[in-house]
Amino acid sequence: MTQGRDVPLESTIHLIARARGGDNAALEQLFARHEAQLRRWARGRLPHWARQLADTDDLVQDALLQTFKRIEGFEPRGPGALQAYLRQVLFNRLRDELRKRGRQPPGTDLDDPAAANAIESGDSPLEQAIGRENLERYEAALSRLKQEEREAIVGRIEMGYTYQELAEAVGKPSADAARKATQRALIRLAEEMHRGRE
Amino acid sequence: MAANEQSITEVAAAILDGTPIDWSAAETGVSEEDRALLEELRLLCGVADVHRQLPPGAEQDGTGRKDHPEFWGRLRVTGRVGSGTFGDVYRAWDPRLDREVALKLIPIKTGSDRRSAEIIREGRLLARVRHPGVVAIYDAEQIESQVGLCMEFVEGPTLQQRLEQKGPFNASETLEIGLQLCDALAAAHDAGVLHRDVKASNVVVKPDGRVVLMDFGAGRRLDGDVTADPTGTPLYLAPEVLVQGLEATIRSDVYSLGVLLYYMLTGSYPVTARSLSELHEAHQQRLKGSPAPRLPRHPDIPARLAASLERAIDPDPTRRYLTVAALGRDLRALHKGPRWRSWPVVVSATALVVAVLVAGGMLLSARTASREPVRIAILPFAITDDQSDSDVIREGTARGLIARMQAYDNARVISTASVLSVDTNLSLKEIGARLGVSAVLTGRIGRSGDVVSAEARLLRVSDERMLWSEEYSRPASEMLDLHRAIAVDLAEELRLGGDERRQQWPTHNLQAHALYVRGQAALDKFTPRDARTALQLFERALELDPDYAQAHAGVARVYLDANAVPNLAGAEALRRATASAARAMSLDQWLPEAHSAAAAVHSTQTNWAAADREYQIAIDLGPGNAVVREHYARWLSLLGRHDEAVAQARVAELLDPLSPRAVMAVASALRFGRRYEEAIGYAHKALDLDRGHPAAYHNLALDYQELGRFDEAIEAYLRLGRPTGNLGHAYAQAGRTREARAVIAQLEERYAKDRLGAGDIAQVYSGLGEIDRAFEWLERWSQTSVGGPITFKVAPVWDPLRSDPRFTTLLKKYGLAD
Repeated sequence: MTQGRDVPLESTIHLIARARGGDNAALEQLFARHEAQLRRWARGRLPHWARQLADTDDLVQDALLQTFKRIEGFEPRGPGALQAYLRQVLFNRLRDELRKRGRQPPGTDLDDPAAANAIESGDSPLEQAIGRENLERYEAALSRLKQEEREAIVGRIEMGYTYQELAEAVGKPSADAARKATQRALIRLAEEMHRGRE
Repeated sequence: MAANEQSITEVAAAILDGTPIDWSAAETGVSEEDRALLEELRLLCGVADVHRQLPPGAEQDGTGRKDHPEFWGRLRVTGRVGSGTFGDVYRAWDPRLDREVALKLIPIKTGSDRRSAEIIREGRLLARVRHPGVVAIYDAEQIESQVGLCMEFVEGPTLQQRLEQKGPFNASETLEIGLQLCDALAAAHDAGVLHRDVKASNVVVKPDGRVVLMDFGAGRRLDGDVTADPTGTPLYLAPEVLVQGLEATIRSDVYSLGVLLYYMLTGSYPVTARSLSELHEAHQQRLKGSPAPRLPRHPDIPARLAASLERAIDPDPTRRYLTVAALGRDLRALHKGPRWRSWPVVVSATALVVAVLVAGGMLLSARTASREPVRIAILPFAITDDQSDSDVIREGTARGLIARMQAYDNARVISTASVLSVDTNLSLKEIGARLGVSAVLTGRIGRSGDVVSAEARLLRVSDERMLWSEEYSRPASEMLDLHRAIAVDLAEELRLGGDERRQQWPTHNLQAHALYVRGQAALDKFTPRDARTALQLFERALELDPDYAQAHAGVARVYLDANAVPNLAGAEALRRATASAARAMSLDQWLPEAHSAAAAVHSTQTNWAAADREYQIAIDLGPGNAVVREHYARWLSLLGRHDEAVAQARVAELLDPLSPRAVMAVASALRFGRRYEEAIGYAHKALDLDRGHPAAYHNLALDYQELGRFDEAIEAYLRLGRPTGNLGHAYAQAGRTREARAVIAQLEERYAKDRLGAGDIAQVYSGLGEIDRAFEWLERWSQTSVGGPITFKVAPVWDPLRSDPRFTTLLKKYGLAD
């Protein structure tokens, strides 16, 4: 069970229920299902300085443990909600960690024209790849999509879910249906991004 | 939009599925609106790519918990120091040796045995490096799903932190640290380890001011992924690695080091960008030929330092320094020069190389204890079997080992011609004295069934003590790997500097290798007939292995010899030489002979600057290659740079003291420099080594002729056994007009047959004072010969023609006059 992808998928909701009931196997399966993807997301999103400061993997694990142990606080509000919830927990966890260590991100002056050094000092890999402005348009456009669309895209291109996993996460009947839905969402996103240029 | 909906959906699907997209095809003929959409999709493709390329991180163990281990082997882990790109670094205590160490743990995916083996192999290679500027590796092992590298614990700020706190370094600080880093990196390269991630945050400044290079191999790409790792530091990555996805090389490390020094000096990077895609774009522009980045011209930055750094970060790897040691040499020269600020931009690299070879030890002294360069002879091994091709094995082993050892900077390895001609029945001391060496490698080699086995022994000449010995065996088909293994071990035993060339694989085909060896031997004899034999042998070798770079270089060399190939117009010979040199270069750009051949091609095209650059690269790559030096010396002579020519030829002679060819290189350089008496001395020395050496008689004759000793000149020419222009010229000068005309008749007969010898005829007419005739034949010569006209500038034989305006026109035509 290295990636949790080769085993038949059990409903996440069902697993959470079992974990809540003290079933460690279910908890492990939940970890297996979400950890790698969350880590991948975090690695793309965290700037270099933050990744050196706080170990991503530890943060991901903390966030997962926190979520699944206090899972009572989580009420699924629709397909893809768990994924979004986990990301939010991780994001909060990271902010706490940074605050605790009393560090501010260096060189975040956006107007600095000599931001050429940004690749070395501050930017996340994602920002390096497409640039700060584009990343902002991407974020803004994402936020204008429906949650289901958003989760499909983030789950697929930032977290590396298989279509089967995605189907389960966003509540589609099959991998193929998830694939089609994600394609449509991606085109929608591109349209929204283009609107963001105007 | 409907018409293109299909293609937009397909692009979206490809982005999500991670399959390749032909963007230019997708963009063809679409509406403005869809083009805009495609532009956005392209950005989204970038997002998806980033995540696909990110390392997935530590493999889960299923429990989801990953506390830092309490122990790693015998090490007690005391705390976390930080996280690197591919692993975490811990502070640990080694109870056995009672010291604090740093421990880097690299998670290994299940099934990535190759990767873990590679990391451990590099760790072990690096562990052999003992250099204060290279973080010391104590141990490397895999336990379960992690590889642990146990290393020296170095405390201090990184260069990056130092730069952020105090701003850029001045020129002399940059030089000081640059030299330390060159030495450190060269030591790692010598051990066969590339750094791959040289950057300011990987250099620690110790409290005493010394710098230590950390985190070797961290830039290694994950299993065969050809895209640069975006979590690395792309600003330091060489364009061929970042943009073209090529493997890291010594030269990509050179590039990164150049960027680091540039950054230290200026506080900025040579190529900047706000995003990875912009950086790709910027590099692509440069690769397409936009001007290379230049350091800002500033009075505090010496021009020569700027030039060195600019060469280190040249977008074209072939124009870069080929080794870190070469960059270090230039920096060191600057560092030492008393008037370094006012040095001219072009410092003679030749002078530097010679200084290093002759003064010796300079490089070594910084790296290890001060030491003279090793002078060593590799004698032919004794053959312990009696198969028919034993001679080829014997000579091939000697040639193979010598060629490999000549790639090392800090050894003077006596060349093949000398060791093959030394009498092996002499005592070790006598051999040592004849060859001028302090150590000798000898041994035995033989085949039994399908196995070839060898024993190598390194003996000290002074007391005949055995310094080292090792036994080897390989399948017979891997005999060439056996050469490589012996050379690598010997180099390590002698603690030599070197470069990647040792990893080059000449050919897998033993038969081709044997043919090449025989071709080389033929070429060493230096007569037109032997050159033709060599050509045939090289061509047969190439039929067996078309990718045999050395054989291609050999072919180029033959075609470049003006008199070697009859019935071939100059242009055609040049075309073949050019093609062969280019092929050799494309197959093995580390081959000195390939660069030397390319240089010769450039000079026949009167492209002097390019020729000079190629010769210098050839010498950089094969500092101990006598033949390359001989060619370079001759070329320098032709340009009238006589003192440099003599110096290069003398290096060749030092490297190959028993080869009449190397001795004659000195004689020839002296003659071009009008130092006839000395040249006569060297020609006699060559004749002592080889009674019938044709080139020696030829040169001797020329010397006598210039001194007005015509009878002696004629006697020497006649020993060549064939009429030449020089003989006719000497007759003419001696007033023996009838004999001079007889020579012309013979030469014209030959010219009618194979179009060779137009220059010779011109020469006799020049001697007879028939200037118009002479120019007529000169014109024919320039149309039919490859190498001829370039002797115009310096050969004394043309002196009677020099005042004629037609001569100046010819000089101009060949770019030899302003």
